[in-house]
Amino acid sequence: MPHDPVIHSNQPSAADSPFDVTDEVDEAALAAVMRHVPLGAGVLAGAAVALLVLGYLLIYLLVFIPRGTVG
Amino acid sequence: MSERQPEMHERRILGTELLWAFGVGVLIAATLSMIVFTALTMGINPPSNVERVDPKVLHLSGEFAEHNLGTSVAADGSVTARVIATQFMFVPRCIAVPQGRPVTLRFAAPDVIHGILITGTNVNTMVVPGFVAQVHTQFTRSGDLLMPCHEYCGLGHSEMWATVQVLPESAFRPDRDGRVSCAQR
Amino acid sequence: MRNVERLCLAHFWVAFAAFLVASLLGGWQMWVRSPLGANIGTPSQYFLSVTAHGVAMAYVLTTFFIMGFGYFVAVTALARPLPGKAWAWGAFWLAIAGVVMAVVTILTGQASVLFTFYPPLTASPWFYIGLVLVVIGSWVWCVLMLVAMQAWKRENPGRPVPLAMFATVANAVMWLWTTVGVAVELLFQVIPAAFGLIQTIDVGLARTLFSWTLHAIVYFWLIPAYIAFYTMVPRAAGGRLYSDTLGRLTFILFLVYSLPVGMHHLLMDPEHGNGTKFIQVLLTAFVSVPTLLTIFTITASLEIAGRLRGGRGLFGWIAALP
Repeated sequence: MPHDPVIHSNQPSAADSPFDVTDEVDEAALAAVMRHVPLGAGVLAGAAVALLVLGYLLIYLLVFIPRGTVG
Repeated sequence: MSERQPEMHERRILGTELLWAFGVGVLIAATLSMIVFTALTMGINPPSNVERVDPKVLHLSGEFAEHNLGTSVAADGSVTARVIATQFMFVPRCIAVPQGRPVTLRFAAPDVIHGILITGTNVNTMVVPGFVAQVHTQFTRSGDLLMPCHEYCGLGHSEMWATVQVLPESAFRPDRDGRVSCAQR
Repeated sequence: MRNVERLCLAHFWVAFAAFLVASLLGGWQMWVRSPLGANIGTPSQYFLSVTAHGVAMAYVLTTFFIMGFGYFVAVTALARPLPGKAWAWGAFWLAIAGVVMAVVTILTGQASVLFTFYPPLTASPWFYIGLVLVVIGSWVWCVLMLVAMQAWKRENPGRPVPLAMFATVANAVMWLWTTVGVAVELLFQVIPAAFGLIQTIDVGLARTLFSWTLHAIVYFWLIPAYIAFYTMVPRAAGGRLYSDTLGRLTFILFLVYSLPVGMHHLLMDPEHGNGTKFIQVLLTAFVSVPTLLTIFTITASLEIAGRLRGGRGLFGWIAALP
């Protein structure tokens, strides 16, 4: 079967060494970028989860509990 | 140096993932603690009384015979409302309950699976033939509430609903047999 | 003649416009007086539609798409042809036969029991048999996914299975387990009752067996989306998956913790007690963990892509994404 550039036989992660990699990411650029990652992701994902928790708590405390006990 | 970088990357990556996972663990623990706390202190838990009953003879005798349905106040003051859910009506169509007192609701079905919820409250249970569904609650606000069937039970399902009248203490008066019927309005 | 041409046409246009309006009204009047529209809005039509909608959405759309997606992953991630393609086509046509059987019973009004078909509500037995055929077709798919992975492992000893296939096989194993509940309910309770071979059904047991299937089935639907998130999105954005290890851990956690929690659909049921329900809640809390981990891992993968594209600062990478 001719080698299809779309097909890759392994999914590399940001820690893979060069000879395993089959995507087009430049290792030097990646190393530079990895100095900042994952701070932005931490803030964004953290904010999203915080909003989720806040929404859950608001509904639990302001809607569910006032509606009376159930058991 | 280019050989060490991936290892440093991998360790740092796993470190950040572990940090995030720790935060997730705290979140899960806090949620579960809240659930356990309200269960132990306020008695909040899913309705869980496992009690079998023969669906084929419900109406003939015993607790769910027709004359025994509706709300009754026992000698010790406890309030129990018994309702049958059937295709496609609740019997009785209206029950009266007191505001601000513990109430026990008991449901049975002779035919297919039904379900009930009472709007504006946390009362919600499936009614499964062969079992008595029991829910304890306290109605915090007075007024007329809707109790629809919420589990598809056949073609008449959309028209199957009952009324729950939450009466203030002054209006909740049991008769000689301890029964309370809906106020006629 | 010329000088009255426009005069004639003006009158004729008005006449035919009136004719158009009158024809539309006439058509509507015939409809109102005919029996054609009688069924629209009736409960029998409505619940027939709800059943057809539910079966199409929850069983047909999902199972067929996921099977097709699995064949795609097996060939592209493993870079080898699909083993047993004839079996795959056989499974496809078997599932089609099942869909036709179920659809015919639904459209003729003999199966208005919704996609949950809780007994004692009973449909035509051919409705249930149709659904069973779809499930059997999907079981063939599961086996083919396992066979494909095994064949690749034999040719690539010592190498980790590509993440997309790893997750697909986890999904297939999860599906094999979770369909046991609904299969037992159908084969031993519902279908015999629908044929009249048994006269009573333990309704609590039927509901519990169906609930066995109910949680992991939604992860069966969800995991292909997660496969896309973990293996296709980072590359499509021009970056790389932040952590392959976490990807594998996530799919393992899904497999382990989604299997036992179907009974959280029975929290309001009278046939189970507090102990069972609390354990279900506990395990359900655990199954939320892989999703919460995914939020971070995928966001970090996209941050890599955004920063590689020139994004700067705490949030600049978001705008830099393609």
